Amino acid sequence: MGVLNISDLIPGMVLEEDVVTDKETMLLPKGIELTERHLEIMKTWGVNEASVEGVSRAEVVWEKMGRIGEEDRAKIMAEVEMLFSGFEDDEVMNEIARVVTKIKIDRALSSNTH
Amino acid sequence: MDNAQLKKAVFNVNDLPVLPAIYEKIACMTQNPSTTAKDLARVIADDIALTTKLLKLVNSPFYAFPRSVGTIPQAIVIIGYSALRNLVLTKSAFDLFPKFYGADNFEYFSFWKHSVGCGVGAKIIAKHCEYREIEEMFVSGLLHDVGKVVQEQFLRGKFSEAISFAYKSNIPILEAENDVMGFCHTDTGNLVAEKWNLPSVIVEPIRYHHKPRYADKYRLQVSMVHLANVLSHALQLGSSGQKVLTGIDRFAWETLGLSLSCIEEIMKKMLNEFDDAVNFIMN
Repeated sequence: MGVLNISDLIPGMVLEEDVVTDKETMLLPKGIELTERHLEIMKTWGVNEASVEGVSRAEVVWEKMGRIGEEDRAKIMAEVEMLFSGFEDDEVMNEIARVVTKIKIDRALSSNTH
Repeated sequence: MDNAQLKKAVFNVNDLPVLPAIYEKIACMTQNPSTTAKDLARVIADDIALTTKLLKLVNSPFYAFPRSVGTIPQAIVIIGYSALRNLVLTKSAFDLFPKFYGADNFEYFSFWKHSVGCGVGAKIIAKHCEYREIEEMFVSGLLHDVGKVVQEQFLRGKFSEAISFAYKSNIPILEAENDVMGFCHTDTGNLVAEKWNLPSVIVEPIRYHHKPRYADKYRLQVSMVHLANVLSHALQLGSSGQKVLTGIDRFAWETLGLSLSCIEEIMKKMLNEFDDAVNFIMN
């Protein structure tokens, strides 16, 4: 379904493509279910992304969105929309907007728990 | 507008700030292969503030040296000649301008924070691109908007008008400058950088960070500063006087050859390193 950044991968996700290093060395075959150990192996080899079944980059953020309150959510969405309006068709700007959204959600989550 | 026109029309080039003599001296000495660390240390030692900065830098976690470094020659050997030259440039350029107060709609502190954000970003991007001269990228990012501070100092009224216009019309400051003044901060920055005799690898990012495809010899470095600038804005690290983002240039993105997944890593590292870098530069 989509390529996810390593920080968004969690044990239990299923690989949709083989994971290879930048030197084309095979690390993990497609179809296996990720474990903590697999994630460690990927980090050790400097692999920073993998394609997994059933979840996309954007969905990771939507899932996180669900964990914050209505008010925070509206505020974050308005801020990001204002900052990034006009760049909807640009994949690099979209990824930057996604990361900014994620960072803002994480801040809201940590200020709520403190 | 080219430099000759700009000089004639706007600035009296003799009025533009000059870098302290120590920069030229260190720049010259570090080019000379027979210069020793001890020779450089003698020059640095005369400047107490610079000595403190050097020792702070070399003892920072970034260099991760196993024991504390207390002498100037040792510190110079560890960071290397080119990082030393860039440190002196950072401090020299920074000392020329105010740190806190400007015209009503230009806040220096916020402006410098944006610049430090861009410097940190450029350094981190350089590491991702396996480009070795990371201190050079830091100083290029830090100085990318130096034209704005020169305009703030020397063309107060007009520049202030351009900032208000950018805010009111929701456009990038560069467009507002061109409308109001007929030139922009990259032209001014280029003029100052030339007067300061900075190396082209630092001048080109100052001149072309908004139009990387026009860069001459240093497209990679210009592209790194271009991306760092957008990321510093997107992360809202300080402010450079505009509220809208400028986009990523396709040419720059292709020149860098990074994968989309790198962006998150780069941005997170920028946030982690930002506060320390602000403290290092501003104190």
